[in-house]
Amino acid sequence: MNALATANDTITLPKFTGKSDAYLWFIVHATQFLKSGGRLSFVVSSAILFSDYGIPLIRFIGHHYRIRAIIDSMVERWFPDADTNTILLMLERDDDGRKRAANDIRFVRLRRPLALLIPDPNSADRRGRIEELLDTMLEAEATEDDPRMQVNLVNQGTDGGLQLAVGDNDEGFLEEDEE
Amino acid sequence: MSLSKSVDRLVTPGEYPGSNKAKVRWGQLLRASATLAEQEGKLTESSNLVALDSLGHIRGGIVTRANAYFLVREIPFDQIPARMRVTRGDMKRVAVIADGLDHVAKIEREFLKPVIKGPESLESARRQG
Repeated sequence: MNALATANDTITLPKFTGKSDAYLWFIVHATQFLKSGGRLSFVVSSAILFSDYGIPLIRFIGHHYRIRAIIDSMVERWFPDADTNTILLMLERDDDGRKRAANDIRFVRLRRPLALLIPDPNSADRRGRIEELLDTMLEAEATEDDPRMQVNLVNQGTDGGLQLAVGDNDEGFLEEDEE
Repeated sequence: MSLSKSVDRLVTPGEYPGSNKAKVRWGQLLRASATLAEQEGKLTESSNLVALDSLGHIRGGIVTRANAYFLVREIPFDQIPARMRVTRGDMKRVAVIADGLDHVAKIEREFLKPVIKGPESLESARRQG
């Protein structure tokens, strides 16, 4: 609980488009409760990976957090009955812009179902094994050879790895979706 | 904080300078693979591949948020339940469809549009599968 902020924080609210998913505001709101070093994990819609509305959210996150890991699965849907596919965001609040910019984001794709990576809910060592797996993902080097996961490392920089346009030069940049 | 102040906060434009135009998306970074990139490079060099965007405008598909409701299949005339009370003559104007929950209904043909839900909808993909 030491990671929770106790003083009023100054967080500039991002400007999200009207097409944005409501969950964005949960992340923004949660940010004010974290001190530097506090961790935030969120299961979010995988739309953040490709949607236009995800870009302002990623910029917001990149402005307040070291983005530790983005975790997805190659082999299963974590909520098979839901219409929405999901990914896992692992964030660590950091007020130091240099540390954030120097951070490497770990893009992790699991190659095994979670049931094979962690013990069942009745197992005594379930929590420890989950934390072990988490530590492995958060410290992993880039790899395509690990049978459990593929990991790509991307520098967070000042734009969350998105390579945002600078100035008016739009050449080579992805078109905004008209939907 | 009062409700009106909360709402004011939500509509205040952010002050994160710079553009929202991205050169890459997180989805690309997540799925990037050095092995695949190497194979793609070889295939591209061999001229067996063309860039997809050279064939047409590429964009994401329509998200219905309720496929079971919007994606329907037409029921052939000889399988239409009698309770629907349609004649062969009616079939020029209306179709009898079943939605993803097998709810049967009549609909004017002008409101039916052909869609490809995904690669699995293509007959060629089914033949190869």
